[in-house]
Amino acid sequence: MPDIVLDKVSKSFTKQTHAVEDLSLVIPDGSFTTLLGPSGCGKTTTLRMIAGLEQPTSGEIIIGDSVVFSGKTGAFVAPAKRDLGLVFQSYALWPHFTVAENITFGLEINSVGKKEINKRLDEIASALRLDSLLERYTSELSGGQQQRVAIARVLIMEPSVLLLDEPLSNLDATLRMEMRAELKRLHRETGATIIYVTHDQLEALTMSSHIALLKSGVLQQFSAPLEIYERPANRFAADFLGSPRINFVDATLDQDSLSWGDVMIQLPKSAKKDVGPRVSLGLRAEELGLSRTCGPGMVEGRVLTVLPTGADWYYQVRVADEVLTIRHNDEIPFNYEDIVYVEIRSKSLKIFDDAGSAIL
Amino acid sequence: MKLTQIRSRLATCLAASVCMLFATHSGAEDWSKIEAAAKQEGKLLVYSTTSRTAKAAKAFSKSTGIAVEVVRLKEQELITRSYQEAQSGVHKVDMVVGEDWPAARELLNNTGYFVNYIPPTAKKLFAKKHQNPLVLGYINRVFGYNTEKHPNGDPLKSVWDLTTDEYKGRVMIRDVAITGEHQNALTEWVRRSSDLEAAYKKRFGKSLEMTEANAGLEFIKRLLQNDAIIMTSDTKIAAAVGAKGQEKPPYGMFYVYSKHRDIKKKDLALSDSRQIDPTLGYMYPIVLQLSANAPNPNAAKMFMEYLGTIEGFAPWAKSPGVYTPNPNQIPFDGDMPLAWWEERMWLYDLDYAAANRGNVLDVWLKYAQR
Amino acid sequence: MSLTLNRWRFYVTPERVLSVCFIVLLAYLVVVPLFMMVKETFIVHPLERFQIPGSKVNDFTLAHWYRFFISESAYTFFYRPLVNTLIISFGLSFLALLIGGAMAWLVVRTDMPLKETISNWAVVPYILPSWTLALAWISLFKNDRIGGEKGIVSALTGFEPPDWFAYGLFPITITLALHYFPFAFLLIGGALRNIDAQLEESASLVGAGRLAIIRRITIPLIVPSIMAAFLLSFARGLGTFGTPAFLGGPVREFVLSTSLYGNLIGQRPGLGYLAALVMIVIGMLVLYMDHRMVGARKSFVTVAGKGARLGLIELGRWRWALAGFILFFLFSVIVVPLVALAIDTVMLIPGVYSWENLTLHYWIGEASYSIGLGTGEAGILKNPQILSALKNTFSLAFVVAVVTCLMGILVGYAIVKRRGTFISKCLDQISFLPYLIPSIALGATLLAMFAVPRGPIPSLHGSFLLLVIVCSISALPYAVKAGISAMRQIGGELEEAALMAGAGWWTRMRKIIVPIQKSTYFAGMLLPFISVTRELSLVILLVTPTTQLATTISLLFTDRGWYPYTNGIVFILTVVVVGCTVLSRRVMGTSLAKGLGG
Repeated sequence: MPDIVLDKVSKSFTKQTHAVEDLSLVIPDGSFTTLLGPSGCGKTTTLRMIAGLEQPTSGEIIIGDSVVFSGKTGAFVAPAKRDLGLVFQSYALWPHFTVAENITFGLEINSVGKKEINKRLDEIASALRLDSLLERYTSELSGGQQQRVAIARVLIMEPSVLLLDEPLSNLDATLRMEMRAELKRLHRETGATIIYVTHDQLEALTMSSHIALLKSGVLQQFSAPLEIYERPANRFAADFLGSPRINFVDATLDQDSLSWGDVMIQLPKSAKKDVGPRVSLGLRAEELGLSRTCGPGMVEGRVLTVLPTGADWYYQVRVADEVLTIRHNDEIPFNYEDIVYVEIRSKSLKIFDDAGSAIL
Repeated sequence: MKLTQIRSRLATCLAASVCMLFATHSGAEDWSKIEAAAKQEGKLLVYSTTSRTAKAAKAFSKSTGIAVEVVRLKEQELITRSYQEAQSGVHKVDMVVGEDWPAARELLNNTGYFVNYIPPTAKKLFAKKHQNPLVLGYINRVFGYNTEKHPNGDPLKSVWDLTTDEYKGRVMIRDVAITGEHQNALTEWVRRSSDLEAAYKKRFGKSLEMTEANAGLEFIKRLLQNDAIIMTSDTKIAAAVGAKGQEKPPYGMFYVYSKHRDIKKKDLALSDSRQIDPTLGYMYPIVLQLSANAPNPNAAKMFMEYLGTIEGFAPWAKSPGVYTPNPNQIPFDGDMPLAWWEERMWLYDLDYAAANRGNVLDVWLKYAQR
Repeated sequence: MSLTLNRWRFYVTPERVLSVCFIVLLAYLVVVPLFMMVKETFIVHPLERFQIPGSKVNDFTLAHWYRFFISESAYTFFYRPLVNTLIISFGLSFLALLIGGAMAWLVVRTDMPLKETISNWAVVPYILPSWTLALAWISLFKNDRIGGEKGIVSALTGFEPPDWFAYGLFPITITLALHYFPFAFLLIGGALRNIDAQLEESASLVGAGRLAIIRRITIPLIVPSIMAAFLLSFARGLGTFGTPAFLGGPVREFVLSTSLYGNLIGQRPGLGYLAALVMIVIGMLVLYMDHRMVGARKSFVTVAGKGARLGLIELGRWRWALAGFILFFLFSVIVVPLVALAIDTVMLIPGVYSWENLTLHYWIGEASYSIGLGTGEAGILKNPQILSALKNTFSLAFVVAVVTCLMGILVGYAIVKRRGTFISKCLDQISFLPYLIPSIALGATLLAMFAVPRGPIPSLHGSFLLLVIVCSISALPYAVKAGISAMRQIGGELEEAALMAGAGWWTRMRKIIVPIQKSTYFAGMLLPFISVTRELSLVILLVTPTTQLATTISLLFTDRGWYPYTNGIVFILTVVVVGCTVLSRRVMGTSLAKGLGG
């Protein structure tokens, strides 16, 4: 089964701006790869270029053995011939067709026999629990049902790559949770490569095997979700992933140690040396600890807000000039105005230079 | 002045006779050959301004078996359409039955696209002046009044009456701007300005004071300044003038006399002025012209011959107001013969009309908008 | 090699091909004729030789421009008609806004009863031929100036309406306003309906009174629609021919459209085309002003629409009085004229209202020179000339409806698919262009283009095709507008989904796009069908005896004073048009408002 290779792919709609710039990616066969980024980062454009709905300005796209697009040779393979299926953000269900007609349209177009169509329809309908809905029109379905129809319509074509463009963005919160699980199950069962577009970092983190993080058309980082979470390549990556947002504090770099106020941290040998002295240190809420008593390596702060979420307690704490968001679940909860002592418990340090790149 | 006029007339006469030498070779033709060829052709297409051509055509088809298609067009449309078709090499039409001869001559005859043809009957019976162009018949246009309002007869002594206060907003005339024949007719009023001036003096006992160049144009100005009503059709003028029960009926100017055929059935109180000085209106010819590139020239010739006969003219003879040059025609009951009208009405001068109708139109337009 | 071919095929997409084809086609049918027309104003035409001494046909000349703008006749040709035209167009637009706006406000924002009925009836004046009211006005108010039988008012009361009331600018303005107010009603009504109630509620929370809210909040919000309605009535009023011809003629008050017609009929094309040019320039100026004045605000109305249902203003004891008044008004502009026309068709001698005079002669009588008007024409239902004209009208209307609908689908598709690109903007602009050209002037441009053979294209004068072309072009802006909004509603993804499934372009159009929007497209067909059925100004210059339409033949009969025929034909057209509207509403749920792009 095919890897999908994007080689220096660029796309510009106008002369001045690039929607996607010099994007190189190898999407492994069978992976669940998410294209993640804020709106306008070029993720949907990338997906559409893979699908063949847009043509890159330059670069090359290879799916498995075939070059589906090449800026050099001018090769271009029509979307329908790329052996992939696309689920649109709006689902794009044809309102004048019933659910069954929607699902089987592609097979009819490709003149698959009636018997075969019915067989596959039965299979897919039962797999996606659509059996009872086949004769309905799509406007009579709920959001989740529509979504399943859209997926069924694609899966019945048995594509080796499944492209999903923000498929969950139109659903409400509880349904979204359900569908995440369902999509993961689907990935497992079909074994197809899934390329998934979303701007929701949580979705990306929970579902993907790989995340390609994009910003303004430029690839920021391409790795496994936890890798990006733990070792963001730059300040943007650190900031974009994780909820609540990561805290950044100003720190000073001196030889092989980092100082933040009175706190001194020893840096590993691998750290870049030719930066600083002013850097910023990224600290996730769970990488900070709170205590009522002062200890070594702790800084004093004052609780500004108490934010219980049920499972976790979050606190906003003012330390010197900065406000940090901190998760702290042990002991008796703190109160507003309490004096607390903050401790750094990071396993991996996230330190960024002026330009925003990680120095570790 | 007089001399040059005479000379120019002489020249036209000469030119006309020379033309006739070439155009009227019909005498030499063997008519039976033409008839035979016409039967061969079996059909023809006619553009006509008068609807009665279609009736004549029906009768003609019945007796000869030659199918005639008649397309009715407005006079100026007929001329420009025939001209444009000929110019672009579309030769569909065989002959035209048209009006506004100064314009038609300019665009159809002088260009060589259409030629005059004189069939045997016309040659034998028509006076020479009706042969070139070949005249189907003359139409006369008159002044009219409401007889209920004027039971004692004609209130109009002079055309200048129409410019007096008494007739303010009461004179109806078809729009000169879109009626070529009115333009032609009014050039004759310019040409005969002295007659008009004399008529003014005779009516009012004083000389005409003019701001326009001559009495003809002065009349146009005064008529329009007297709030003349511009109408779109003669039918409407006749009906409006003649309707009974009106306190202030309008007066008609230059509407076709043939509308008087409706007097009885529409119960109109309508009569034409027979004393108005210096002209009872005007006359103009309906002319027949043969296309130089006619696909069915012989059938056309035969139809032209037919229209010159009493039988062929029958559709027009059923009502007053159209007069064939064929001397054997008995006038419609109550109507006068052609010669009577010719004496009392102005026929316009062709060359003068062609040269001056632009002028007339300009003055008309200058005062047409209130 | 085959790879490059592949890529080439990607570029040669249906929407690109369509865009280019339509740009070329429309340029040829709209832009080139405009230039041709300008050219015509500089050359000598056959019969113009009489006015321009010493010239030859096709010579270059400035005489037309001189005569039209500077000479002594310029007052008649240009200045007075221009002033009259502006007076009428402004007057009718204001009046139409006032009537339509007030009715829209009452229907949308108050608790007036019978709203449904009023809404349905309020559109009818627009679907009647515009000169129906002019004819009715004449039969009602004509005085002794034009002689003949008395007008109904004069016959009943003995009072002769004064000239200024019976003919000229005053009745032209009134009757046209009564014809065009549905524009304002539909557009303003639509805008009012879309206003977010919260906008008004928050104003009332800060203490604004009802009038202050209308003045400060409501009206500013619907300004774009008001301007759109104004522009539409203004542009349509500018190009109307029938009404000014019927009502202005008797008092010699001319407008640009009658000046244009008179000059073309009088074989002075140079001057006629100049009149057309002036009308087009005015049309563009009005649009430009509209653009300058509202431009940015256009987005107002589209943004809203999700807001809460508006609270209805209580009219109290006025509610029935107002409803009654409006119904009475609609009754007098719709039913009264139609009944008056219908009665005229069954009176043997016009103007004699007695039982003995009742007849069906004008409907089913044989041709006769002695019965009634003695026209020599058979009754309407037996008259080959009239029947063929009716047939022409309905085939034309049908063909044009189909053609414009197809063009609307395809052009709308091409524009939306290529949105944002130069080529799409170009197509959008060019398909909007006919909107600015007053009807009769549009007829004139095509006459200039196709009256004579040009290159390989033969003269189309007098052909059915030319009528199809002119009517299609005139309906194009509406069709394209409908097509664009339909395509926007569909959105690109529905089609891309089919593309992904392997459906070719033709299959996508046939199985996806057209079926989904069929009711919109059907509404898009209804409007051209209706406008063609009652169109006069657009085709008046282009018909010939063989392509006579119901409207032009009734003009011909009106010229001859044969009102029973004219009125009967108008009556038939009205019945058919209203019938179609009602039917399509019942069957397809389409409304005219949709077609107008309200």
